[in-house]
Amino acid sequence: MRPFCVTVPESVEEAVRVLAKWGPEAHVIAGGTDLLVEIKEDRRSPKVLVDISRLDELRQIRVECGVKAEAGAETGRECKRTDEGEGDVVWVGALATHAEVASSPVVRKAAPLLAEACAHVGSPQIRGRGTVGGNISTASPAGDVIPPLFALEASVDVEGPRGVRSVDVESFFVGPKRSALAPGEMVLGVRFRELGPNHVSFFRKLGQRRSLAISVVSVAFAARKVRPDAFDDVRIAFGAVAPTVVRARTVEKALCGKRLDPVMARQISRLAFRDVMPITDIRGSQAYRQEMACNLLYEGLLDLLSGSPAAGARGG
Amino acid sequence: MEIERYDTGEHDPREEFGVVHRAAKRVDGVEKVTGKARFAADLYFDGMLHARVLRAKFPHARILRIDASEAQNAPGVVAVITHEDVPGAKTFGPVRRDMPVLAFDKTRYLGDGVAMIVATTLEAAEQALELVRVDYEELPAVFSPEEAIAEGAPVLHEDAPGNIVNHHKVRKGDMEAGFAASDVVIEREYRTQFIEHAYIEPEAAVAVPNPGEGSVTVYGSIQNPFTARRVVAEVLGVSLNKVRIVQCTMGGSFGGKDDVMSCMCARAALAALKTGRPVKMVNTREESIVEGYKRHPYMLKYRVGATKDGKLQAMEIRILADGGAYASMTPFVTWRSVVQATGPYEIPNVNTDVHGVYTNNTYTGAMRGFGSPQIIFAHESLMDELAAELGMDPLDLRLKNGFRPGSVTATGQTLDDHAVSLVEVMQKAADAIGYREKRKAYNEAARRAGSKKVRGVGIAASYRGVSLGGEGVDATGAIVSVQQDGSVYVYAGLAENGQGLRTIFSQIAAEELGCHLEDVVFMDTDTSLIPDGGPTVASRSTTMGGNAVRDAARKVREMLLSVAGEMLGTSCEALRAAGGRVFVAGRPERSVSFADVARAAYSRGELMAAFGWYKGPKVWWDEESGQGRAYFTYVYGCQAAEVEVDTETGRVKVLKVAAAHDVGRAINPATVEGQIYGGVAMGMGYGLLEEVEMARGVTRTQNFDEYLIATSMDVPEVMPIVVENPDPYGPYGAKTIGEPTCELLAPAIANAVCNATGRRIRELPLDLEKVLLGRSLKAARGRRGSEQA
Ligand SMILES: Cc1cc2nc3c(=O)[nH]c(=O)nc-3n(C[C@H](O)[C@H](O)[C@H](O)COP(=O)(O)OP(=O)(O)OC[C@H]3O[C@@H](n4cnc5c(N)ncnc54)[C@H](O)[C@@H]3O)c2cc1C
Repeated sequence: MRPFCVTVPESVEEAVRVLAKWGPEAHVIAGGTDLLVEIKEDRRSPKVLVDISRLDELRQIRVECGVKAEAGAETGRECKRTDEGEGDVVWVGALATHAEVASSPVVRKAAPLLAEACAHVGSPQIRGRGTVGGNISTASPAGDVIPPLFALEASVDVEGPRGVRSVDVESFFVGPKRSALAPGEMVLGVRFRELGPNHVSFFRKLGQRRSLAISVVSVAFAARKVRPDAFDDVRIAFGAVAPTVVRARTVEKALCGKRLDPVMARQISRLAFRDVMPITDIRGSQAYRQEMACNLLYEGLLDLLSGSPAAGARGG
Repeated sequence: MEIERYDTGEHDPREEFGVVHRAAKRVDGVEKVTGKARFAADLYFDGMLHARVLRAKFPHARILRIDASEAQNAPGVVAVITHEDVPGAKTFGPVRRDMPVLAFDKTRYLGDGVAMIVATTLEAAEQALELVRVDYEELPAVFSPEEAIAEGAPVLHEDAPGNIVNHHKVRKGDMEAGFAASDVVIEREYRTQFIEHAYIEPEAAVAVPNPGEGSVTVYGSIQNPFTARRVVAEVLGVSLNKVRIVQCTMGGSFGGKDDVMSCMCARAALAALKTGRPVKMVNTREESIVEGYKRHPYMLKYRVGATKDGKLQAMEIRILADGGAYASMTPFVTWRSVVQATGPYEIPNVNTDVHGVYTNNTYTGAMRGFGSPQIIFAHESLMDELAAELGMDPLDLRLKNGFRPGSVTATGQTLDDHAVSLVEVMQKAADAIGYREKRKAYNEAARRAGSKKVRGVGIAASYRGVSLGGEGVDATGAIVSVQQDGSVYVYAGLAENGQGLRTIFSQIAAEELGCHLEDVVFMDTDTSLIPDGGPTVASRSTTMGGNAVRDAARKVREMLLSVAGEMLGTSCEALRAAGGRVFVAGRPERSVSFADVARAAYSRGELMAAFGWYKGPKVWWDEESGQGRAYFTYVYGCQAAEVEVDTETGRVKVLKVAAAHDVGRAINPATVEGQIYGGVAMGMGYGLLEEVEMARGVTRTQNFDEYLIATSMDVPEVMPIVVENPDPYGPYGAKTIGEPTCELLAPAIANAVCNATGRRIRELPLDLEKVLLGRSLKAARGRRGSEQA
């Protein structure tokens, strides 16, 4: 471990200035639950740590509708209406912790799958420190916050030397542990449109044990229920089965409008094979992960069809 | 063979006690939960230096040259120490002296220390490590016992041709006749994995030189202070009384802070003497996992024959144990295995061979269980497999063959001087889990195909020799010293490891003296204050040490009672001591307080302390025939597990565990239950999660992100069933509980999974892929996962 300096900026502008000045030598530190491990293991050796913990505006979780967001005015966008033409936009600041997101009434209502994913990150200690911004900036294909953001078609607000931009979540991740953040840029937060009243969703994660387990496979699902046994507006994302989190477009297309029974649900879930390309590592082999992508999705669909109370989401 | 009978010692028929046999709060509980307990890494001395160890670059290599000149001149560096600085023995080891304190001729695994940097700061020491130049000639290496014993395999130790550490056998009866008399013969192979003790506190020691006397004091997280003292003295080339070992609060050990701590103590002491300053050494978690010894992986081949009504006729057992780079405890671990390999069953014809083998993996040694978890996984899986073959219920098969009073073990020992409670524990565990009903219901459920979650129940049973047995001298001591105000010190040759020994010994002293538990202070072990009482291992503390404390306390009590007799004007035979008072039996109003008696004794100039000693009953062993009275008494245990298997993912959820253990007598029932909870959690980790992965000698699971132990979320409801059949030898009839609790759950789970899914898994752990796909992941694995995810 090399010695480093820590700076504690009082504003986003100041943080971005320091980041721009030091370039790749500077790293943002939020909860530190990923970064400190990497520094200790000499996988990263920053000269400057930019501790953003005082930027309280990035801690907010709020509903932004129709108007420009007040606190994040500089970053705010007009609410875009979807085809449904309804639904508020929710903004989750980069510094919101997993515990805060998991217990946020706003998120639990607007995107239960995201709350559920955050509720199953690591342990109580990790959930109390680890942040949404840190999770997505780490850009691990196994990051649990990311699949729900894919399923929500969220976008990531980023600020850098050249100002603020918004990146849709799929383009934000470019490879394992590689994001589209340019040097000097940092994440301000994520925004997504809340799920409609007829939408259902779930997040499921498979780990080697019931807590403190990195996902072997995870799946996030959101769709509008058009009949008790059929969905449209289907959005599915898998974690830990490809270099980045991936959308399962083959499955989505096949599911749309189809009337499902368990046999059909099984058949369609098998199509996930086409959407994932996992690797073999210490937590699971390629073959097993492929199989699990299908099975996790199938289990989730079955629970949705049976109206089981566990259907909302489940992890661990 | 004629089996000698021994007298059964003294048995306390009392059922009423004052302090023992009651749940007592841990005497060291408050300091631990409030964070005030001091661990070795907390210690600080003026002028203290820090030392770091340079590890081997190759698992097997000849060391050609070590050039430390550059490191020597690095900022902050005070000394660089290599084997050339070792004044005494360069190697140590409990059985074979084969392990170098600092490698000199060769490295044999990646945890070997090649040089040591001593510097003013930890960071300076760390940075200078990179400056030590070592020239190696890499040698061909072996990474499995099969490779190691193959013709022409590279040899690790010149004095161990064929890489054999040891060979133990058991020969009983006539195998040919036994198999000929069998209607059913099955042959099965099982495998177990490397596992890590996973104590929360990594190894730590501080050595403080006493230059005037040329002696050294070492403080540390040391399981066996006397073993550490012997190694330090030998390495320094000084007599035992020049080395003082003081045990600090232990953050866990589970058998794991023995050889590795002896080595760390010796290194720290070397550095302290060379620099004339205190030296601290603390392993990182990664070092701890790479350097520290593991539980042995076993390859086990069993062949068993039985009549069609399920009577066992013959069992042939072949076991290879991966001993890793150094012998450590392998000869003793595998000895326990050879004695207990058949399980607690009567079998007239037995033929067992166990070989310990050197490889270039991390060495293996003592770990809670000590050679039992591996064989129990095998024989308890085998019993279920045989039952299936015979069309019998597995519990019935066990009941039919299980030890009863007067049974003869595979080593020819007749079990007739203690309560043989196997049937009792099996029935109690089975009843508690609802074995009979569920087994039937789940079998039927399994036939209804198509369900995603399937349930099963399984059991496993064992018998276990108490204490060291034929391993060696079995004796230990204690001092009980009463102060003039009636407060009490207890010192013991055995050491607190986190298991609750301080509380148990304090309870026994208070019980015998008749004082309050709060009046007793247990003093941490210091080798300069008490005679060598052997190691704190083999679940021997309560039985052996408890007897020694009792012996010492009784001697003091005798003196105190005679003083009290004079004070109360009665003979001391008429007196009783309990609850902080000495009183006339049957007339509690005629009494004096314990403190007043102590004051009176003091003013009369009485000797108020006593030394107690206990030597275990005789045991014997014949290496050639593998026959003997291996242990003086045994404990019996049975655990039953109910599981739910997710057939979509392979995830096994343990729903409930019933754990029935005969402890003789529970000195502290709360501690007994605590041991059961902890043992079940460890047993569950062994069964489902834990595995130190070694790839060509490289440890891949170096921290707890990848080495997975069970969390509180994983541990199911546990029903502890404490069975008490007082033993003739233990204090108040107490036997053992530490190790039996962790040896049974893995096979109980494997049996339950088979009940649920119909799939028999013969290799631990039962991780997701093994349960779902029936095959191990290992072969296909790439790099360390965290580098990718
Ligand atoms: C024991 C343990 C268990 C864990 N379990 C899980 C789990 O189950 N699921 C899971 O998904 N993760 C898990 N993690 C990983 C980690 O906790 C999470 O990814 C967490 O969300 C990271 O957030 P942080 O605030 O701690 O990030 P930090 O460590 O502070 O930062 C992580 C990275 O993101 C960058 N960064 C942080 N904030 C910003 C920002 N606003 N803008 C730009 N860059 C930024 C940092 O420079 C760094 O590169 C676990 C970690 C540990 C140690």
